[in-house]
Amino acid sequence: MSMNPQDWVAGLVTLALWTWLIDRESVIFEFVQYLYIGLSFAYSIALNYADYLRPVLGKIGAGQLEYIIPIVLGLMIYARYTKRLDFLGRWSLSFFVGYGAGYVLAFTPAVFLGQLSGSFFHLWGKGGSLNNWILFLLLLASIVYFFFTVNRNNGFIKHTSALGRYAIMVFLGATFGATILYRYSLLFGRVYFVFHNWLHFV
Amino acid sequence: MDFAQRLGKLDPRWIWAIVMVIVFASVLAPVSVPVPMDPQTQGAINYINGLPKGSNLFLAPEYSPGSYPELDPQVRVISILAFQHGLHIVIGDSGFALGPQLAEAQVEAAAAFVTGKACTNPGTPQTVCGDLKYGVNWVNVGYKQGNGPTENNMERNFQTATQGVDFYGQPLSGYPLSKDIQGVNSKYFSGLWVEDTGSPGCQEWLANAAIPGNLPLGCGVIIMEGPTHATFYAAGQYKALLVGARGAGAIEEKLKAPGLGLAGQETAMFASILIVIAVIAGNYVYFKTKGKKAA
Repeated sequence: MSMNPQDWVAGLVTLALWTWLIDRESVIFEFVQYLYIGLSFAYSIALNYADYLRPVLGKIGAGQLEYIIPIVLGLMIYARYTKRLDFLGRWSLSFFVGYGAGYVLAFTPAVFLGQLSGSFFHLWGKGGSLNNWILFLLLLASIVYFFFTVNRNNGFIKHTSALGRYAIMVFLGATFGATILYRYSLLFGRVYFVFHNWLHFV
Repeated sequence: MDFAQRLGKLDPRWIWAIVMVIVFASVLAPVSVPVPMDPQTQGAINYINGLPKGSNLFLAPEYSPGSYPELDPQVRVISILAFQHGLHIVIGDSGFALGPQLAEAQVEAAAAFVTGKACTNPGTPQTVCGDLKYGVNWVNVGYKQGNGPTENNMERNFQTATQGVDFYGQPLSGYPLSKDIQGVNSKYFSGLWVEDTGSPGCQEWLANAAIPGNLPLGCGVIIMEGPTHATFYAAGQYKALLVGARGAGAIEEKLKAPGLGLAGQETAMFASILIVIAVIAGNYVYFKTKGKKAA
């Protein structure tokens, strides 16, 4: 059995969370739930202070006055709580939205273009394969599924769209199965912690 | 109420109870499950072994404690491979506050495994594991909040983006490994490995550092993200893709370094069986009760 107090706290809190299996309105479960939320907020505030505010204030103190600008922009958001000055809040929000739009336009197209070029497959000759044909046809069918501005009762569109729907469902099914497996991994991690790290049973 | 209706109204806690029995049994009475090496996982090994010896690898552990059963083993095996290959590791992330802390423990465990010696002063800037030393063989710049823009800033202005201090608050200029690094790009690094649980993750690092910095990107993901990221791997945007604890488990087996990845494979096997049974049961309930609901 571990002698580390951290292991004891983590182990007992893990057991407390499992009391939900016995009683849906378990007081112990609710206590731990709120403890978690409270700790997360406290940690987040402390982290933001240590990681952001303290270094920036230090830099301003050292004479780097340009760091005052983002602080003022941030504080301007709170001006929306006063009717007379609420336009100032819109200014800083406009700045953030403008920056975000410019940033996305600058850096994300390269990722999409890579996806686009990756969807050009060798179908014949060297490099051609059955897999590439399947990918090519299902890609086209999936795109056709999202054609909403054409007559979808048309025989070709109707059947291709149905094939696309099945392709999408296979993807979603694979993701769903993987999601459940992931939940198992989380539970395994906690059970392994309890029996291995805390209680030293295994 | 017939059997199908009763099954459809089953208290979900029963499902959790069955799941817990399976997981408890596989932890308390483990049986050895072979984890064969698949080409994709072998690709992750080849990716690390293909980087120039002695070069720097940037490791972005974009995950939180909720994902540690899957991604801690991945960080450990990638770090073992990196150290065995003579690479230096620089750890840092932009989206998950506790990622670097989790990764630090795994990198230390990897250093201890590679050298065969326990680490002295673990979790401090004075950590030494045999002939591998913090500041020389690895450095942790910690969590630098800001998601994509911070990643992009790290690519161009590493010292500014990291505020010049590491995970422990010590100046990066004080370590031989980090003092001259000016960007997460091909001038200072040979590879970029990202551990992904969502956003920001591999896609963001691809857009903000790998493409502009001309760095080959390797991506480790939780199993849930596997199908999504497979498209990036298939398109050649990721040079390697490691999926879930299974990927880590296969490398653990190959390296003869058993850990959490390998330990979880028995649970994963029984979980897969239970999922199939649940899917069949769910469909049975749906088709048996569909008409009755409509009526």
